Amino acid sequence: MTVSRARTAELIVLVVVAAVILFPVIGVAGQALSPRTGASAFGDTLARVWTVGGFSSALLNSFVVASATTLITTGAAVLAGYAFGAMRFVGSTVLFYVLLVGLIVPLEGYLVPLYYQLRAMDLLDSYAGVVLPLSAQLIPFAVFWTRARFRAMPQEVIDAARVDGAGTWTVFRHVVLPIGRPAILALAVLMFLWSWNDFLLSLIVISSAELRTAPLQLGLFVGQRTTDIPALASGALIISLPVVLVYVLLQRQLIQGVVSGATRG
Amino acid sequence: MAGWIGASRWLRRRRSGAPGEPHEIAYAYLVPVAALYGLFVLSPLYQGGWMSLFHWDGINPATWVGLENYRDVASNPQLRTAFTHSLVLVVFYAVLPIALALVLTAMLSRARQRGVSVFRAIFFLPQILPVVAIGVAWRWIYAPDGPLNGVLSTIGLGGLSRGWLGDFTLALPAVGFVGTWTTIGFCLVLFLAGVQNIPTDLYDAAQIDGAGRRQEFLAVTLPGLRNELVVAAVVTTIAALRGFDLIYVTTQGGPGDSTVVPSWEVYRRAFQFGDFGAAAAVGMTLATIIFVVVVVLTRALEPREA
Repeated sequence: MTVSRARTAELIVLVVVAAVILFPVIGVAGQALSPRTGASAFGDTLARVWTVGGFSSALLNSFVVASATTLITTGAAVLAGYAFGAMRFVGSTVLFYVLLVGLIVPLEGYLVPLYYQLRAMDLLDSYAGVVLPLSAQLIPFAVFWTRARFRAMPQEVIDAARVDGAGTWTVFRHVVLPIGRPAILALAVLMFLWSWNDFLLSLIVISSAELRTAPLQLGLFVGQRTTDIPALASGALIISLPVVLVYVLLQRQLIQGVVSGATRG
Repeated sequence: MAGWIGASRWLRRRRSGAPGEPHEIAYAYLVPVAALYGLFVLSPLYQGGWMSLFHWDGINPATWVGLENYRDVASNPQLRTAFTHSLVLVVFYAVLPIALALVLTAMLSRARQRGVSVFRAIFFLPQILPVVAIGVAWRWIYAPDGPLNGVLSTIGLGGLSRGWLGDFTLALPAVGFVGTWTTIGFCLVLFLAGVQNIPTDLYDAAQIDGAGRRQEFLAVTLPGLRNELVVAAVVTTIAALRGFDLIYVTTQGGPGDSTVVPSWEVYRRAFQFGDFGAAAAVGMTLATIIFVVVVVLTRALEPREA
């Protein structure tokens, strides 16, 4: 087989896999947009679902929840990653092990006690009731991310700043943060996407309709319109568009970060 | 879903202490993480262990029952079914995608294709879509008048068509296949990136030794992908053992109990039946199983020390 024929064969494999992955995505978008009967026009269902389904306020809620979660998670993880990555202190290994538990054990494992904790703290049915536990759930991953990136930084730069008499905060502000910026931004994007997609936590925490997040709105919508596929597809399209947009713009840095974080670190 | 990435190597080999001078001030930088993590992960986990030892409906005073809730997990047929279903889902979420992705990796040589980054973006796409939306897409595909049945009747197999998610025997595999679809691209992206990191001289040496493609794959590619295999196995297995969102939008555990999974049982027992002690016990069992599976997987795939 010649080189170019081998390349063509490989291209075909890639295209087939891509088609399999894209089919449900494009298909569901098509279901949402196509006119159903002769009377209805292109995008009709989408417009109807937008007004009837309450998705505009749900998108806004998701935006608030995801932004707040991203800020809190990334901020806390950058600070902790600096401590774990660039400092030596008693108990760092043990504390890191403790964080490892949260990386492995899923929300489902402690869902019930968490619910009672939130109730005791009077956080049920509020933004904070979703944002704080969601941040706590994402923090182990975020700390692993920042720790690995900060550890990979050239130690000489940090040492040089220290020799010049800079304290840990000065080093953090003027050395670690600027160098770590791309990694921190990629982390923030990932945190935004994951917190946008949360469903289970919103399901148990949120009870008033005005506070529902986008995935929760769709989940409940599915319960009401079980077989109305075009309506459900419209809802799916509406709640996915924001994440898909972010993804299309920033996928390169994101995938690079995830893949390299997976094998190094 | 990929909440586990990055820790694989760390878990397998502890590095010697962190770089840098000793700094007491480090604890100050850990305060926000410690507060959030302690309050909303560690404390609920601890309380969950405690709660699982009681009979409690959420309203009346709880009564101590010791390990009865756990005995129930082991003996209650419905709960055992849920955990058995998890096992089936592991095949669909983890075993099948990893095997398929390895085959695809072997088919795609190491030569860089043009436009490979576009394909990579497409393969990774299911990772960032809301699972609820993915569930809706597959509700459409599996619907009685959906595209799957359409294809079957076109190729003359119309007799096989059915409402897939409403079928007692096929609903679970149908849900499982959604998992395969979700994770295979992730595995493939990981493996293709991993192959790029394998030193070229290893392949040259294999060729000089007259290795065929199959031998080359077994002797060079597979060992070279060890780290990626660990990550893929762990991430996909965790996804399989959770799976609440997808079950919620596709089948709600039905028809009958044919697609119930442990995370669904946790939700149903607590928030629909009001049996909080039992729900906590199922949750603790699930958490323990996931923890043990992850530790075993990482240890089992650990590279042998030379």
